[in-house]
Amino acid sequence: MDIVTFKDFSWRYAGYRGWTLSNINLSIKKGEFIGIIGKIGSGRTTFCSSMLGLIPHFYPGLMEGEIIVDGVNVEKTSISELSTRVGLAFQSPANQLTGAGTTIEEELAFGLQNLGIPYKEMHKKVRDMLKLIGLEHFGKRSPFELSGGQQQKVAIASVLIMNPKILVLDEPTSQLDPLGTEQVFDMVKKLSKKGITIIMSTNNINYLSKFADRIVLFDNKIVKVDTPDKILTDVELLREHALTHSDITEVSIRLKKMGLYNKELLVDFDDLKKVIEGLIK
Amino acid sequence: MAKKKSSFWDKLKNEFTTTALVLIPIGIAINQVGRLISTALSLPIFLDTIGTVFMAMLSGPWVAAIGGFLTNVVTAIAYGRPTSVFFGTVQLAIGLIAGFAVYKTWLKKGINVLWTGIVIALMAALVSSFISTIVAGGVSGSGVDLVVGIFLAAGQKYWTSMIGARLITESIDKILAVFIPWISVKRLPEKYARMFKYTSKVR
Amino acid sequence: MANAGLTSYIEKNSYFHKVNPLTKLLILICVIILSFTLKNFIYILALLVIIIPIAIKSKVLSMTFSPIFKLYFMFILLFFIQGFFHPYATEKLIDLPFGFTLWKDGLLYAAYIAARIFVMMVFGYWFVLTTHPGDLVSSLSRIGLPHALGYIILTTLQIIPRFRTQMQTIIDAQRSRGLETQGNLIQRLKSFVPLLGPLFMGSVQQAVEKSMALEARAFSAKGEKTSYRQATIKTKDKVIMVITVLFSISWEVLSWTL
Repeated sequence: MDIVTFKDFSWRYAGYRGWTLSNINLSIKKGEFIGIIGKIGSGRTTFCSSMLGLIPHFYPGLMEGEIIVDGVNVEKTSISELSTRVGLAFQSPANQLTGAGTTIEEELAFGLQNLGIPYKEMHKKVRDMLKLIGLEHFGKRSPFELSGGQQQKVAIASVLIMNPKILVLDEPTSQLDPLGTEQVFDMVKKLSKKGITIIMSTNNINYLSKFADRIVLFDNKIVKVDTPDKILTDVELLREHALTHSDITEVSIRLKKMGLYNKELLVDFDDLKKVIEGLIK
Repeated sequence: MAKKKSSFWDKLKNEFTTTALVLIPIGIAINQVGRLISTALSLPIFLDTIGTVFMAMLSGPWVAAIGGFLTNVVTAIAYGRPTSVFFGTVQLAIGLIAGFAVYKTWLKKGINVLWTGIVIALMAALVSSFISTIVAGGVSGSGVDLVVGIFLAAGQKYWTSMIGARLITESIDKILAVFIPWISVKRLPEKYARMFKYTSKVR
Repeated sequence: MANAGLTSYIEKNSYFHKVNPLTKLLILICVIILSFTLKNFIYILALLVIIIPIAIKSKVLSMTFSPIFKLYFMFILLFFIQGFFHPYATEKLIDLPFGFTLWKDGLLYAAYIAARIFVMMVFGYWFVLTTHPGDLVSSLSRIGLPHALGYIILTTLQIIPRFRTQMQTIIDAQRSRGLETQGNLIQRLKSFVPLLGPLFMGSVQQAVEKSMALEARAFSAKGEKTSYRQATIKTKDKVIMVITVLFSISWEVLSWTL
């Protein structure tokens, strides 16, 4: 069943000449993990913002086509209504903190307060969420005291607590150190396993190759949609879009050059492991 | 009549977009930081209204007036200083005047930055003299009290000293308080500028 | 400990920490009204007799009276300005050389103002020492404070300390690169601008991103909102409120009839 459908969607920001996105047609199935890649300015952020309705409701501009998310038309639904269907997290962990929460608990509860969730239910949800993100002993701390990775987890959790079926992540790790990046990817993997549809924009191809079901390559339009092993090993295509292939692909290229391997390029760690184990034998 | 009133409220409500609401705490923080910098550079001015003027240039007179007033409410809550709420009226007036100048697109012309600064200084001197007389017997707890004292000791009348002393310190301060946000808003990237209703009236 | 951001709030387990913020606010408002309307400064200063046991019971006695250290210079000026230059002075106390006159009504007026400011400050300070801003805002929201206003107050208290540290870092960094913090006035003014450029630019970006984050959490949702913090009004609150109002009225009446 499709949970997100883009039909001939195009968007142009007010005051700009060109279309940031044009003719987007894409269907995403329930529970899928979609990786979004592309160079800076390729419209990935615009794409991510569109599912929550920030486009067209928050940003001024011109929209064509339609977007259906979890059965509702984005153009005809308010952002606050959409926020119970789609969770959106983005780059800067600090800018996503509302600032109104003096503790992590209050930060998590912010969306629930706005939705008018009763006191008891709200407290239970907050407790459960703290457990899920592994911060149950940090509830009374200030969110500003956390590390970047932990802040990003809190940011993701604070939209997740509103129980969306779709989680959209726009470069959630680009401002984090390697440890923070791993923490966030671990959390996302966990959520994906729970059946939440994940749409994640990131150029961290090493991680994407492990988790994503499909990859979409953007360049103000959709250039290509395919499985990770097809797109992420296309070294030429990636280079055209200012992206670097993964270390695993690099190893398989070297092996090929050395004449030790002659099949398709690899992107999956386990596949590479098998090849190398074969070579050792 | 009733219809007219509701349309005014609707208009007012439309001014307070989410972006404008989020801007208010930031504007207040800038007011506070302005003072920090002027102390660090030992400048003889306050610069604690740059945030209010900045709000006026991005989100108009009403947001700036409320934001300006709240600057003092927050100080009151933070440091337990109820008197500072009364002086919030000065910030409120500054927000309104700066916002009005923006609304009328006067600030598109560079020279009007100077005039707006002077009008704000005049207004600020009048309002703060009045408030400090009513609330605190003419003192305000800042360096300006000393200047007032010098004026008085030199034989000037009470109100002349109050307003005159303030005009001297305020005028440089307020011209800068308009100029600094003005140049920043002019240089704002289009991408961000278009998210605020009033930037097009300044740039 | 719960971080309350930019406030003087001190977390303690005292009787008055647990009193509803609205009750304490009512006390504060009554004190402010009294300090503007009582007949003379003796009646105003007498209010300090009440705050002492309250501050002891709140475990913040010495802190409560700390505003005096910030105020004494202001008071000296106040007595100077009003003592010598009170605009409507009529009763001479003493004639001094160089044509200066010390006025009795001027000094009395200064005492009245000083008492007013001091009493307001002391009660105000006691209020913030014992009241978590989160509790204050959530109780105010329940009696009709607009949601957005509560958001603004809380957020501001949170972000000001962060802005300060950020700015201090920038100042220190620029200083090590030769920023003019001494030099003449023009030089110092010039070095001011590069400090503020990034501040304004960063602020706008932050405002845009933060408002998206708020939208993503149903900030603009219509309908009733709830609160994570909940301070209930108990019987003891009602008792304190009634006592406060009754006392204020009788003290006011007493000051004008005696």
